[in-house]
Formats: sequence, C-alpha cells, structure tokens
Amino acid sequence: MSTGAEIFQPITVQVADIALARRVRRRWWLALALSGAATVAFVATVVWLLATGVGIWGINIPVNWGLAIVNSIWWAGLATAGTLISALLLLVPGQQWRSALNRFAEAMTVLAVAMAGVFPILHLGRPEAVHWMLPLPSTLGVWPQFRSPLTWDVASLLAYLLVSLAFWYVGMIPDLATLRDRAGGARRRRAYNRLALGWRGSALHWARWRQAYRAAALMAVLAATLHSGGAMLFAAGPSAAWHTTGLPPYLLASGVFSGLAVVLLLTLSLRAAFGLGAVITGRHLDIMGRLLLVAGLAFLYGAATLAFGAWYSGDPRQAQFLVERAVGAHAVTTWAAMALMFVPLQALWWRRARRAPAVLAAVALAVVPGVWLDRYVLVLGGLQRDYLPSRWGEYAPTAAEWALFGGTLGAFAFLFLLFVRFLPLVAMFEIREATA
Amino acid sequence: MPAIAEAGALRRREFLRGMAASAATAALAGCGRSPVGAVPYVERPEEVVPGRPLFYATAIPFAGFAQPVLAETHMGRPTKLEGNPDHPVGGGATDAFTQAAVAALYGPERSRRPLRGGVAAAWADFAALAPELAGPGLRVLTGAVGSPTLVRQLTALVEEAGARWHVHEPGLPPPQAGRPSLHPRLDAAGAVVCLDADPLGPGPAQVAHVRAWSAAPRRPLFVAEPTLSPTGAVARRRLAAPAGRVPVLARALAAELGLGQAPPLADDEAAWVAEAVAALAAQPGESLLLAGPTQPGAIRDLALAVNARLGNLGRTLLATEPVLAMPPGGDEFSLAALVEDMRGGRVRALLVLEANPAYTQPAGLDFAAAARRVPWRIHAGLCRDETAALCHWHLPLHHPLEDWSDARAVDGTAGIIQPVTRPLHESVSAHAVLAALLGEPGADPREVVRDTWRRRWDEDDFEARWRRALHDGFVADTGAAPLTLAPPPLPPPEPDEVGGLEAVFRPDPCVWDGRFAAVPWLQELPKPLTTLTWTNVVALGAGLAGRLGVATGDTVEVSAAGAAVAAPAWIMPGQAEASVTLFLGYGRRNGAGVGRGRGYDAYPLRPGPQGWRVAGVRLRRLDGAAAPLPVIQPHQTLAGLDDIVRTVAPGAAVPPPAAAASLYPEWEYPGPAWGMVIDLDRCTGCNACVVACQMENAVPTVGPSEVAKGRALHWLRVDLYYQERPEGLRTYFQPVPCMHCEKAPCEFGCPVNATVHGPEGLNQMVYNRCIGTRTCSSYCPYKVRRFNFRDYAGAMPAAYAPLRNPDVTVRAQGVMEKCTYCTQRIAAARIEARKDNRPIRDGEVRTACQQACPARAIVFGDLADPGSAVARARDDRRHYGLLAHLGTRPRTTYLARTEAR
Repeated sequence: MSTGAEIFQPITVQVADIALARRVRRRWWLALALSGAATVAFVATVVWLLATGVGIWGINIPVNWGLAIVNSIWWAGLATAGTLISALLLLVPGQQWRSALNRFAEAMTVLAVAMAGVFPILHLGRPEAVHWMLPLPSTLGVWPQFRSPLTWDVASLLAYLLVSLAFWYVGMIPDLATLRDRAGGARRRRAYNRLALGWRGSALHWARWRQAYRAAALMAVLAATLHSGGAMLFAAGPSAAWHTTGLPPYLLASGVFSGLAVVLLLTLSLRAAFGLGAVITGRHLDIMGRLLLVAGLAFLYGAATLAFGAWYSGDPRQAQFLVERAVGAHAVTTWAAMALMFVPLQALWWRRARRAPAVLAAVALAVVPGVWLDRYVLVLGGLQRDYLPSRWGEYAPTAAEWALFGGTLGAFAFLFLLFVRFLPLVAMFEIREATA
Repeated sequence: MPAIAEAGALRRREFLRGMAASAATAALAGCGRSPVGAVPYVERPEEVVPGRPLFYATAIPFAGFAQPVLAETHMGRPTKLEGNPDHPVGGGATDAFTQAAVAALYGPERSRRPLRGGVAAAWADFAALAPELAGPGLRVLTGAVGSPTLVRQLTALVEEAGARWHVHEPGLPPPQAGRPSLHPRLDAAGAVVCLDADPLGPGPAQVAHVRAWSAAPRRPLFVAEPTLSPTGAVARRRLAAPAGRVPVLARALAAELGLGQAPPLADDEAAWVAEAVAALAAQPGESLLLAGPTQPGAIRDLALAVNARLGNLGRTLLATEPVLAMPPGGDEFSLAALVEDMRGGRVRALLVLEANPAYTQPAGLDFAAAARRVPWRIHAGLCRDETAALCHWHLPLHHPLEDWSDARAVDGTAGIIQPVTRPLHESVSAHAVLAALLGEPGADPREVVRDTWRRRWDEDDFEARWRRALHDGFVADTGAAPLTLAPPPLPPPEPDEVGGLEAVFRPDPCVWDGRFAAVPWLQELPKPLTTLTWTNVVALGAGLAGRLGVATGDTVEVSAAGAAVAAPAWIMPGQAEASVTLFLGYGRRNGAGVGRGRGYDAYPLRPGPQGWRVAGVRLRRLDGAAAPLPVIQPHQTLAGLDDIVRTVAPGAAVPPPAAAASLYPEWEYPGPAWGMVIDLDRCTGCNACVVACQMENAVPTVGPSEVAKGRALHWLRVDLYYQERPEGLRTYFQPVPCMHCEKAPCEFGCPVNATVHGPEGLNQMVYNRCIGTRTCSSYCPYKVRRFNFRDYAGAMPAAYAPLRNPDVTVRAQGVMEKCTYCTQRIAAARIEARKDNRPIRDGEVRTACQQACPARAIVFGDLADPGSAVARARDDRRHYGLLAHLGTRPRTTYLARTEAR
C-alpha cells in the first residue's frame, strides 16, 4: 500500500480528469447511444401505456400484479446496497475503505430507487390519480387509507428516494468544488460552482457539512423500511404464499445481495475503464467479495427458513406453494434462480477468487438475474395459485412489459453514464482524508 | 331527413327548418316510448315517475313456449326481465336465455328495415304484394308454435288459402301431432331415473323442472347418459353410457319390473340398473322414469309403460292435450317434405317465419339449392340470417318486447305478450305478415290478438278480462287440459346397436341451436360443465383421447356418412368412451353479430332434422398446434382441498370453524346487516343468476381474447369442480359472489379508501376513488374482484347503451368492480321503508341472482334480524363459510352439499 503523500495529488487529478479533461472515448459514446435508444423506447412504451392502459400487459385476475411489480421490487432491492455501503459503513468506525466505492454506489442507489418508483405508478389503472396515495390535504377531505401497507410502501419509497438523493448530493459538494477549481472553461466552472453551492472549504462549511452528512446517513434505517415496506405489501394480505413475517427480512437480504452484486459489477467496470486500480484496490475487491458471500448466505438462510416455515406450518396451502415452486409451472425458473444465485457464489470462499476481477464479475453477473427470477417466482407464485383452485390462472408477460423492463435498464445505464462522465465518481476528499 | 341528406347545396332557410325539426325530434325521443294501449303491472300506469321503473307483465317465447316475465322499463326503455311471480310456471324465476332476451332487443345485429333483394324497401310494398302470394303454392315454415293467435292465423292460411305449414325446430323434438304432452312432476317424485334425459338442463321447461326439483333436492336421482348434463351433475348415481346403449338399459330396467326380456348387461350397467330399479320400486306411484327426447320413440314408449306399471301415470307423470300446435299430417309438415316439394317445383312462394333452415338443416338436405327454385322467397325474422340471405324479401320482425302476441307456457297456461316499448326499428309483427297474406294488409297486431281472445271470451266482459290478462301476464286457468293416459303397448325389442364410436348432438347450453349466437352476454356465459365461452368443442372421454393422442384444444376431425367437421377437442369428465358430443349453434355465417364465424358448425353431420345420434363415427387428430380456448376456469379439480365445497352425510353437520382473532374492533350495525346464504344442494349450475347479475349491474362482456387472458367481468361466477370418487364422478357447482367479509382484506389493502365497509355491512366499491392498484384483488382470497383492464363498457356496441340499468354506475377503465349485493335494490327498499317509517321487511330486498334462481338456492336478507330467512339458513347444520379459517368472516356463506355415501 502506498503512503498518503504519494497518492494524494494523483487521486484528485485522476478522478477529476475523468470529468474534466479526459477525452471522451468511442466506447462511452457507443454505450450512451445504446442506452439512449433503450431510454427512447422506454418513453415511447410509457406513452403507449398511458394512452391505452394496463390492458396491454398480460396481467389478469388472479395475476393482477405482473412484471411491473417484479421489476419494482427488484430495483428496490438493488437500491438497498448503495446505502449499506455508504451510510452504514459511514456510521461504523474504521471502514474508510468505503470511500473508494460510496459515490457511485450512491448514484446507483438513487437511480435504482427511481426506477423502482416508476413501475408502481405505471401499473395503476388510473395513473393520473396517483397523488391520492399521498396524504395531501384536499377539498375532498379523503385521506389515504393508513392501514394499507401500500400507503406505507409509497411513503417509504418516496422517503428513500428523497433522502438518498440528498445524501448523494450533499456528499458530493466538496468534490464538486474541487471540479470547479480545476475546470478549464468558464461555463463549466460556472456550472460546477452552482452545483457546489459556493463551497469554499472553510472550517465552518466542513462543520455544517459533517452535521448534515451524518444526519442524512441515518437513511440506513430507511433502506430497511424501503424493502420491508414492499415486503409488507405482500405479507399483509392473506395469500398463503406471502403471509409470513419472514418475508421482510427475506426480501431485504436478497435486496442487499443483488445490490452488492451490482455495485461489484460497477466497481469492476469503472476500475477497468478508467484504470482506477490505485483507488479501488485488491483489498476493496476482497471486502466486496466477502460482503457478497455474507449477503448471499444470509439470503439462503432466509429462503431456507421460509421453506421450513411453510412445511412446518402444516397448512396444506403453504406446503402446496412450496411444492408448486419446486416442481410446478415455475420449477425451471425457481431452480435457475437458485443455481444462478448460489452456485457461483461458492467460489468466493477463496481469497484468490475474491481478488480476481473476472471471477467476481462472473459471480455478480449470475446473482443479478438470479435474484430477478426469484422475485418473479415470488410475485407470481403468490397470485397464480391462491386459495380456490377455480381461480388458478396463468400469466405471460407481453412485449410492452418486457419493453418497460428493458427500458428501465436502458434509462438506468443512460443516466449512470452521464453521471460517470460529468460528476466526481469517487469521493476524492474522503480518500484524501483517509490517506492524509 | 332524407331530403336534406340528399340535397346538394343547402339554403339557409332549409337548413334552419331542418335544425328545428331535428331538435323537435330529439325532444320527442327524450319523452320516452310508452307503448300504445299496454297496461303496466303497477296499479297506476298513468304515473310515469322519472327515476322509477315501470313493470309490465308479458312473456318471451322460446322454442314455441312462453317464458313469463315482468319487464322492467325506465322511461319506456326495457332494462331487465324478471320472472312473473304470480304465473303458475316458474314462480318468478327465469333461465339464462330469458334473462338475456332484453339484450337481444337492442342487439346491433337486428335488421333495421325491410329489404327487397338486399335493398331497403317499404313494408307497404310487401303488404301490397302479399295477397298475390297466398294460395295453394304458398308454404310457411315456422319454428315450434304455441301462440293461439299464430295458430289461428296459420290455420286460416292452410284452410282458407290452401297454403301448407311446415315446422322445423332444430333444438327440440317437435311433439307428434295428436299425441299428448307429458309433464314430469319432479316435485312429486320421491325417486327419479333419467335415461338420457336432462330435465334440469337448458330448454323451455328448465325453470319449471329446476324449481320442482329444488323442493327436495336430496332425493335419489339416477342418470344414464352419454355426455354429462346438469341433471347428471346432480345425480346420486350416474352411469356414462353411450346413447346407443341407453335403449338396452331401458329394456333391462323394464325387465326387472316385469316388462319384457332382460338383455345382457355389463357389470357396471347391471349395478346401476339394479340400484335404479330398487329406487323406483321402493316408491311405486311416487317415482319417475324419464327417457330423453333424444331417445327413439320406442324407448320413450317403454318408459311410459314402466311408469304405468309403477303407478306413476297421473301422479308423477301427467299427460295433457298438446301445448304446442302442429300442422295436421305426419311427415308432410317436416322440413324434408318442404325441401322435396321445393325441389319438385311445387312451391310458388315460401315464407320463412322465425326459422333459419339454411343454417339448421341436417346433413344431405340442400335447402339453399331447393329454395332457389321457389319464385317468391320471403324471410321474416329479427336478423338477416343465413336464410334471409337466400330470400327476395326480408321483413324484420318485432322483438317480443315490442310486439303484440300471445303464447302458452310449458304447462299450457296462455298469456298475452304486450309490447313494453315502441319498436326500435322499422320492423313488423309476425301477425301483421300473416294478416297481409290473409288479405288484411293493414291489420293492427293488437287487434289480431284481441280477435283471437274475443272468440274465446264473452263480448260483455271482454275488456275487463283483456285488461286483467295484460296486468297479470297470463290468463288464469288456461293450463293444458289433463288427459288420462292408457299405458301404451310394450314396443317390440329392437336389435341392439353394434359397437363403435357414436356422435351425439346437443343444443349448446348458451346459444342453443344458434339463435342466441348474436347475444354477447350468452356467448360469454361459461358453459356450465366446461366453463368454455364464445366457441364450441367436440367433447370426448379421457380414454378415447388418450388412445388417439388428443389433448384438450387439439383440432380433431369428426366424420360420419361422408361429412366431416374439424373442431377443437375437449376432454370431458363423465363422457361415455364410445361417444363424442357435438354442440349445435356455432359456425354461424350471417346475421349473428358477434357470433359470426365462431366455433364450428355441427349441423352438416346431423343425420336428420331431429337426429340426435349418428353411429359409425371416425375421429382423428389433425396436425397443428393446440389453440387456446377462451375458458373461464382452467382448473376444475379441487386439488385435494376439501374445505372449499363441503359435503356432509344426510343429517350431518359441518363442524364449526375455530374462531379467528382480529386486531381490529368489531363493526357496529344499528340498522340491517346484509348477508347471503347459498344452498349447494339446490344449485344446478344453470347460470340464470350469472346473466341476471350482468343485466342488473350493467356488466359488459370483454370478448374471447380477453376471456382467454383471464379478464372476464362476471360479478357472480359459478365455480365448477370435478372430483373422481370411488362411487363415481362428482360434479360440484358453487356460485361465488362477493363474500362481503366482515374483516375484509381488500378494505385494509386499498391505499386510497376506494373499498370500504358500509354501514350495513356491505363491502362497498367507490369507483371514482379507485386508482387501480389492484391490491384489493391480490388480497382477496376468493378472487371475486374484477378489473377494467380496458374500457370494456365503452367498447360495447353503442346499441346496448339503453340496456344499462340507470341505477348503476358505468365503470370506467382502470377501476376495480365487484358484486355489490345489488346495492341499488337495497337503496330502493330503504327509501320505500323510510317513507313508511318502518324497517325494511324480510324478503323486501331480493338480489338479481336470487330473484332469477329457479332452484331458490340463494337466500338474502338481514342477518341482524334473527327471524329473517337468511338468519335461519345460517342456523342450518350444513352452514359453513368459505375459507372461514382465514378469519375474513364472510357474509356470503354456504350450505354444504349432502351426499349419500
């Protein structure tokens, strides 16, 4: 490991240069064009959806929640990891290593929670009245129904979005000031100056900033409510497949699991793309690998507990859901999810594997779709095989639903690429601080 | 205003004149359409109060028989039909067809004006032509006729003008001329054996039979039949026997009772016959053996002989003079004879009156080619159907709700059909058409009908009796005169059918012989034993399907005697392995509106106008992928869950569920607390409730592709479950409306207060508050909620808009809807009660499903009143709540099905 004095200047130069000086490469343009096209397709599908309604989806009675809800909870799951890395570790002393990762993990969080929030609005029968879910005073005198888990889900999602946005932005202010100081053109400098809110780095600024940043870091709590909120929406209903108190921790564990995998993927991509090997070191990868393994095992434990609970309950319908998952219509999906999530993961028991970017990338690339498939089985399983066999139904997502899912992936990538290009993607001042 | 429409340039004055006339017409149209001379059912007809419906007693003819109804009209626009509670038949109940008849009134498929050669023509032109047509070369083809006025006119045409009258009724066997009508009295029979007979199935007498059966539904019922029927579904012991084998069973049964020789039987057949005979013999004089109308006449005679031997004649089986009228003569009046005469050039003019032979003709009878040799072809009917397309003249007929006529119910009771609205189109009455042929071109159909009755009643009290008949909806004491039936001689035994595959034909349970194909509500009505909609299938047994490698949905080809049809296969529980069932009524080509081109046409395989069975059938699987079928309920087994449809031994009780705790406080009800109990012993799955609910609550249809996606909107569904038991196949029907749970998961799931607990216990939907999160449906363990995934109401043809009940909100796209316990009816009763300053009486509120149900399976009322019928039903030992262990505390509950083991 280098001493702080040696890398102090290069870090700032290296990171700031990504935003300021680096020549824009063909690869970036290509990626931006691809994700931009997907974003346009997303917007077009949304317009089509708003014009014709959710009838263009494959949803029905009983499966009246489909891909939109699967995607929503999947994106929300990804969003929890960013918080875990930045906020939770900020509150735990001695975890300075996070400084290399927290900024883009937070960016990922903000974007993912935005994507998670898009679907519940789009899936409404009458999206124009979405504000009725908010406790807005109106002449109608009708408030949201506060017993509904959905009311609280909306509140937790909205709170998480706002707070994570604030956390990310506040954390970025000192670095924005650095960019301002180093920016070449006058227009650029003015723009960064505006974003930096006139940060001068005075002791008072730093004192205020620390206050604000620590308070915002309490959002780790909100990460838990975000995912428990979503999970309660399932668990509070009487559906035999969902009606268990184990569901919120189960969803939270799997959310953190998938989110860590995405952070790992982003880490590896950025590290390779910008040659950040000095900033994001092998130690970082090792820690990320361990975290992923721990989250994966926690999730596996959660899944096993739910399965055991379903069997041990003696309720034929809960057992039936278990059987349905294992050998029913979604057996292939279930086992594919299990294999993707847990088989490659076992490589991370070895330190060498944890330090090999290719192995880490392969594991993370398996986990992310694996968790999506798990969500798919969870949502559909609870609706397709409910209490009365007469109402058992099937569901096949339509092109519009896939287009929306692909569209959010595209929009996420599009915005993330812009973030990478124009904002400080590593917390320079924190690294300076840590290494000083 | 054709003059203006045709004018090229319009001058200002002409334009203003036109505008004024349009405004005046619009204003007039807004004043409603009260029919001239009709007498409403209420006492003060002159008081048309806006917002309050008027009821008229009238009848809807079906296959020649009157279905007595009370027509509800709002400002002159009929919206709903109820059974006539005072009528001797039905007691206020109806069947699904009658419920949907009011929709047919508005159907966009109806013809708008007379056509000559496909071009708009005037009725007056036909009236001028008509006298020329009358004469010996004139043939009239009708369906079954029971209307005294129609009979009088047709008889006059035959006797005075020398015309000939032919009858073709494809869905029902016509009565044999001169033979009595037989009326099984299911309410008086202590044990019933049905040989390929389906008294509880669809047909003109369904309401009467189901009602009679429901008097004591737990009686022993034995059924042997080739394909599962509603009667077979509720039978205690059912034998799947090919139609060709049923005569053998009949002779075996007769032999056991000392009539004739016993044929050899297979073990399961012998066991069934032994049990059936034991049940019949145990109650001589109070048992009943029914041989189906689809069986040969000899077998029906044999059944009559058995009933005579058991002393049932005159007790459980009544004979009366024929209710339907038939032209004199044997085969001379058949469709085949008509085609023969047409082909021979012996027909100068043909009037087809409310029949569609070009579509319903059997195999080998080329009606179209023969008809082309007739110089004058006139079709009179509601739609421009396949037959109308062959005719020179097409005369649109009035719908029965627009027309004056009369008809006889299945028991013979006559009633006057009075119009409840003015004709919507330029249509005419069938009586006017016949009157024109009889040389009275300007005859008023009302006067024609009055003329019939004037001949029967004394002149001095004619007006009073006429008024009384209109008010009541029927003429008292006009039931068919009873006859004493001599036991028929024992028919000689016929040779047994050789084995092989047979095809049996059945009218479709929802579109019948094809006549209801244009009614979207009947198309989307799940067929009771398959829950299939919008199409027909070939039903075959699982064993046969396995041998041929056929799965449900595969296309199969059924061929017999040189003809073949291709159709999707359906593996039918309870199907006799040597039988395949073909359902009539689909594959319509013309004038069938939404029914056009749906399903396959089974008529080309039918061996005769009344052929119900064809032997020597070949069946093969055609290549191609299985087509998705629009099925309402894909899973029809109980999947081992025995707490859904509860069964109890006779006299046994359902164990009460453990009390489920709730965190939420109890609701308090100062007034009534509504509830419903549905008796699974009584329900025969007839579907009348389903259509009644749709008509009452303006529930739109969604079309086959949306049904296949699982988006049908029926507020009330009848769940169907099959269960293989050691004692045979069991079929369960379970009507499922909203449960209106006391602790409703939907209420606490909704984030916007769009579904809330009402002050009288109803689980209410606030449509304009709903934003469509669908959480309520995800939370509903009964899945009774229906979502407007698209603008279903707006997508219905505009012609159906007047059908909507004005007391019910039309639901927009994106909102949830469900059964409301007919909250508009509760509101109406509450208003009436408040005016009189009294509580709502028990029975004052009747939900639409309850009112229509011929089996009286549904009881509705105030649970808070311990004396109410519904509270008493809840005290029944068989009472249970569906999924009660979830703690939802449903207000809709069930009485378990009794099963003798």
